[in-house]
Amino acid sequence: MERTILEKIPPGTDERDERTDRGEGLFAEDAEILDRFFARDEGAIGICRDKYGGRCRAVAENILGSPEDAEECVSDTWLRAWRAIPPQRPRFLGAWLAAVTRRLALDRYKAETAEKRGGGEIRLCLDELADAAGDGDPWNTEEDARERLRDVLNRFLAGERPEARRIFLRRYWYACSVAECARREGKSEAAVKMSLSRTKKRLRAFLEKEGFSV
Amino acid sequence: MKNHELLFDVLGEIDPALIEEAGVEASEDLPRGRKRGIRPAVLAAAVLAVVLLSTAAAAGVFSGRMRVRIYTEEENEKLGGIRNEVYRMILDDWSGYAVLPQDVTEELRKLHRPDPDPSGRADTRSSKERADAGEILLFESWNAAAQWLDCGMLTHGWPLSEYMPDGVKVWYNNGEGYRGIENVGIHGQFAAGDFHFFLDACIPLNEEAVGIYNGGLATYKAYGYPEVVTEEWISPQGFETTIVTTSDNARGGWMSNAHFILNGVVYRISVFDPDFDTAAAHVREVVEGLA
Repeated sequence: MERTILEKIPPGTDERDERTDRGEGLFAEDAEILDRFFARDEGAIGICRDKYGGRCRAVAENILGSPEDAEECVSDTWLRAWRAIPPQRPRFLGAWLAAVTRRLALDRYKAETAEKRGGGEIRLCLDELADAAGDGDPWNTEEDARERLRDVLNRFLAGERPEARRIFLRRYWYACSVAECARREGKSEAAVKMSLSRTKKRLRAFLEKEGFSV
Repeated sequence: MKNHELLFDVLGEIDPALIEEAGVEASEDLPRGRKRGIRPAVLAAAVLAVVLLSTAAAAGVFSGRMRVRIYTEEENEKLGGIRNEVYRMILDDWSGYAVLPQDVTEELRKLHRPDPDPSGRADTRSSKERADAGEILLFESWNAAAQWLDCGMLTHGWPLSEYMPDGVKVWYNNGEGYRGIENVGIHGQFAAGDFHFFLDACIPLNEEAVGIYNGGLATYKAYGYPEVVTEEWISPQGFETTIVTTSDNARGGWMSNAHFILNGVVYRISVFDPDFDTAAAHVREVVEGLA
């Protein structure tokens, strides 16, 4: 099979990523990192920490509001990755690791909420999402509600304009503050709030159209 | 669980591609551009490396660093199952491609030594330490690299970008599945007013290799970019150029890549911009500025 020069420069893995000053792990290609996991090479964890530690720490800290708790979640993420890969081979390693961190942080948040502590941005995020979810009949009484909801969210977000989608996910997936979302988008906080409000309104209508009681 | 809590919870399970697109880093991890200087000791090591690497090179012209790693076929297999006929060299960040006259192949072979860490990922040495060990070689400018290569390379006067921490890199590659060293190339990132661009040039060492590099457009599609737009364009200098613009979801924008071949050298120029038209316009601007 013929190979081309471009085949060896996968997107987003060479110096086209401007974050070149942060260590060699940033240059590692995900495929190579995954190969290391599959070879049970512990160096893979160090590379993940270099390349994706910042993203994982950001999402954990946004949810928990505590750098110490966030760091523990991120450490747990590497352990989970070590146990899960193989057999899993994530298509988007960074997103997969961030999702693991998000899950761990949410679990910790729930435990801490039960103990009347913890918080961060997540309380605000949950309150705001109530605008989209409405106060209709409970969804989770249906057996396949979770699966259907995931499908609806994927279709809804795929149809959104990139900017609105980014802002929505930074706020409600990564739990970034409104100010942080504004800074990253180069917009005012008011513009970000407006974008979020409109996206939630569209999401509510979409959910209703798909048969979710709102 | 209330509906909005379920919504927040299930959001965690959506398509990873969407999450990747909106990726955020912790504030302290945001880019901090700086340009590293090249220290005299590094230069001395680099000059030694050049003497070893190429009898054709004029050492007086060269200044910079280059890390050289040569892998035997056994070591290549450890890296992921790629079994080369002879050996391959990977320099510094694994992504570059290279230019090398066939007559230095034996010299390169002499540089090989067993590497306990063939992937290089566990290597925690600083660039300076690598340079002192004679493993790194870089040029301070595109023109210096082009002059060292001495192959009639197109040049330009743009300064190195602040994001290019090491300088212009020269790469050597034998091409997976091909015998011997097949190509030599240089790679740099430059500042052009209010934007940056990447410039790659590869010199295939035989006609077969030219064919390989000229077939890159299908590769963009094979990579699964959500959107790939191609356009044929002839520059004012007469370069027959193919411009391939791909969506870059990770950064929320477009990477416009201009490809053309001139005097047997394969060029690629890449510009990122959040706006499609701006990226495509900038890439043309850079091509037009080549001399």
